[in-house]
Amino acid sequence: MIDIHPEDLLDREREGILTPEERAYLEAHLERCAACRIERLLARECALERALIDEVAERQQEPEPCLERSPPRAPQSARRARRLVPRAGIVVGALLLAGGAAALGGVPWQAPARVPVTIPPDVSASSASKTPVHRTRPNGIRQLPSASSAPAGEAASAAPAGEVPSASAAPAGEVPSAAVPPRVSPRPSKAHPTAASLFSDAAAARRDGDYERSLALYERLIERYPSSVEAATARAVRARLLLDLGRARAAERGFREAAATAGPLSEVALVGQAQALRRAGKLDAERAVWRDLLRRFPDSPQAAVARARLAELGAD
Amino acid sequence: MSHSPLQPELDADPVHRPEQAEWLRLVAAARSGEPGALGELLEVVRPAVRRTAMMVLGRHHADAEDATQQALIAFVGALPRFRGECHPAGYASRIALRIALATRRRSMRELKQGQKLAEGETPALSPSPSELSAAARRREVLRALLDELPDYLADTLALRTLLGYSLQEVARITDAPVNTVRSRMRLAKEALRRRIEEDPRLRLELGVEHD
Repeated sequence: MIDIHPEDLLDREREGILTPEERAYLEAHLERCAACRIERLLARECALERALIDEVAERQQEPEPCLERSPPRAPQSARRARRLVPRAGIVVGALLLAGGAAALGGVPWQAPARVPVTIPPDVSASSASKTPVHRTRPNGIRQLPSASSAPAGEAASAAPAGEVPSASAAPAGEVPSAAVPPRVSPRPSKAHPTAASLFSDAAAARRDGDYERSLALYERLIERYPSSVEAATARAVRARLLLDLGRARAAERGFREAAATAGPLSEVALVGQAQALRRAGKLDAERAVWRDLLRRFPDSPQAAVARARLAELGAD
Repeated sequence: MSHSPLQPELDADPVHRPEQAEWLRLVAAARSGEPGALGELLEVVRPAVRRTAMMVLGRHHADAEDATQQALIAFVGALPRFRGECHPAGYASRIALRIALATRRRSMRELKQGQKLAEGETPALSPSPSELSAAARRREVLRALLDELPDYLADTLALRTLLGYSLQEVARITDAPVNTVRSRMRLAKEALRRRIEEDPRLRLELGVEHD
């Protein structure tokens, strides 16, 4: 019996940490709960939209995104695998799924202009009503809030309530005078990340909906530390992410690779592989995977699922 | 220093992301006026702010960048009140959310006045519903609902669905217990479901007709 709220299960699904039992429970719940179904669908679509927004911003700011720098002596197989998750993929996917409206609707796609960081000379509430003189980064190209925008005072009042009793801003002395223009910190070099740090970063990107980056980081982890514990998990999580992104074939390859790796995740990987094959319409292959699961894990909780699905598929 | 369950990975960029201790130090430095610290902090929160504005208003909305700027300014103004219970990007996101929702409502009012629309008719901020993909239509329904929900429900729904924060993260950002966030989310989701059911096309696409 699963004693977790569906909302929490959706969070766990997003983090890729659902157990097979939890997944079965969640899927059963979603079958009968339209509200949760809508939430999951919208959350996925919004994640793609956010990825697109970040992607566009990043491309405008960084001519050479660091993730695309090939690590030294990357094996050819890894480079082939890397191509499975091209950076453009998420953009195309997002355009098709989320932002395709513009193209379909005849609205010209327009990359959002670069957003400069602009600091008011004085951020106190008393100064908010004054005509602001703003400092813009040298590479920033735009003006400050137009007349149509809310006044600075209104903006300042939008701060979340509950942080302090008073809604008024702090005295000017409490915050910097902003006489120093904002500086862009150089991106720190991560020449020698550990398996744990790569795994952590990939999980963080996934939680943030930055799926393409997450996939790239998992790739890097698997490539650099193929026999690590983190890599074993990363193979299954990466494949699940691919499946959730609708890339059934790549997901199936990923699950197959994960299932071939001895470990406690083999069973989960087999389930994922079967689901990916089903998604790809390869029913014979799906049937074979379910049978393989039954052979290797006859007492698994997934065995019942496998038998039910095999019955549904019928004899080959 | 208490550990916040709201992980620093709220910021989009894991490479650029400072660890929790570092961002707390950065916030303190920015508050104390240490040269460059405020700019560095703004660089940390800027992606989340921009993302929030664009998610609420739409990527093509003319005021999305203004809203981003407004939110960054408001974030600086609200920094003294930041208690460090969540990542500053989460804090900035909520500020940006409020500003973007206000901007959206103002745009709707202005458009409505300009277009002299009949009562109840929705002005077009973006391509008409028939021109939108199913995903974009659903997002537009979500945004329209945010305009109408009370702030506490709109914040919860937007933070979780539009911006992708987990229940725990939303609880930290909104300074509410997780159970409260969960129940707010259910109320908001039900409102969303009813709204989608009103649209036969969306209903069909989502398969909610039998529920």
